[in-house]
Amino acid sequence: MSECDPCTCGEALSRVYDYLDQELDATSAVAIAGHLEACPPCAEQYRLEQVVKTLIQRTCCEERAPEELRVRIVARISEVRITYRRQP
Amino acid sequence: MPPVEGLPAVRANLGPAGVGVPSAVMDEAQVDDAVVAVIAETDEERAARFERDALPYLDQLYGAAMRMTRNPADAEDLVQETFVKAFAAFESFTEGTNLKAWLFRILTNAFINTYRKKKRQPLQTDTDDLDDWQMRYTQAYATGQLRSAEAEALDRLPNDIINNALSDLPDERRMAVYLADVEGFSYQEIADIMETPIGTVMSRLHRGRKQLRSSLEDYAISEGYLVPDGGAS
Ligand SMILES: [Zn+2]
Repeated sequence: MSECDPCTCGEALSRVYDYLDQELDATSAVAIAGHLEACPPCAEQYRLEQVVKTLIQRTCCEERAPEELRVRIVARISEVRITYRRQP
Repeated sequence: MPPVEGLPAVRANLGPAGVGVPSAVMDEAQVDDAVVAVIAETDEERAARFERDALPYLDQLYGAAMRMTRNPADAEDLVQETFVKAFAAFESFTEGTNLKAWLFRILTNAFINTYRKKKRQPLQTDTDDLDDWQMRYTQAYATGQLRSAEAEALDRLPNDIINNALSDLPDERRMAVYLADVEGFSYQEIADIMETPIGTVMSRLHRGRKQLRSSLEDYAISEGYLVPDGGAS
């Protein structure tokens, strides 16, 4: 992967997910950030990806396991433990 | 074109946070300490340690299982299987390594190997190898189709619409998107969890998000949340 300095739109957009997910090294991240600041169309694409990522987080973080499941798991674990102990 | 190309160097960079094979990434002194600790541990102590350390991930694993199986009864079975397997293997888990990723790996494995087989549903894998998401951007840019109100429109979409769009993704894409966006795992951690090269993870993520965004856009347009530029309405 080449550093993009100065970034073209194609380069910046090809790494927009890596940037979004904070997977880039500092040099590349600075280069992309610089491009996004200077280029409104790319910045808009980045913003949309950010929105989608946030939407997924928003809809998925509310899940709670049913209490019976917790109880059942704890019970299963002690069962497993007892089975193990009975083995010669 | 195989999606595996890309970052082979990063794949080798399996730090101490790597999942599953902790003994390979620890020095011998650490291994000795861990072994001594496990040997000295009674069954009761190990069960207590498991309940203290692993059980707090119940809600998170259940949330992930819900995304995988898409129904509560199956999600419960899958999570229970995950915890039973994790407890049985807990002796081999090295304290101080990435427990959350370890548990997610067991969950993912159980989903792929047990659940899908039991349901006689093969795992939905990626079939199209056309990586056209870049092209889509380039086209949108070139044809001036960028819609300034799009971000706001997508942000107003109801949760069940987003859930449906996520459910519609093929399994592997959905899992990659979920692990990255909801659980915040790094690409390397997802590669370990899904037992796949990091390039494949990136490809699944790219395609999953692209597909998701496109179906959300379609919905937003059809329901009037968003008016396409140059459109008649
Ligand atoms: Zn640009």
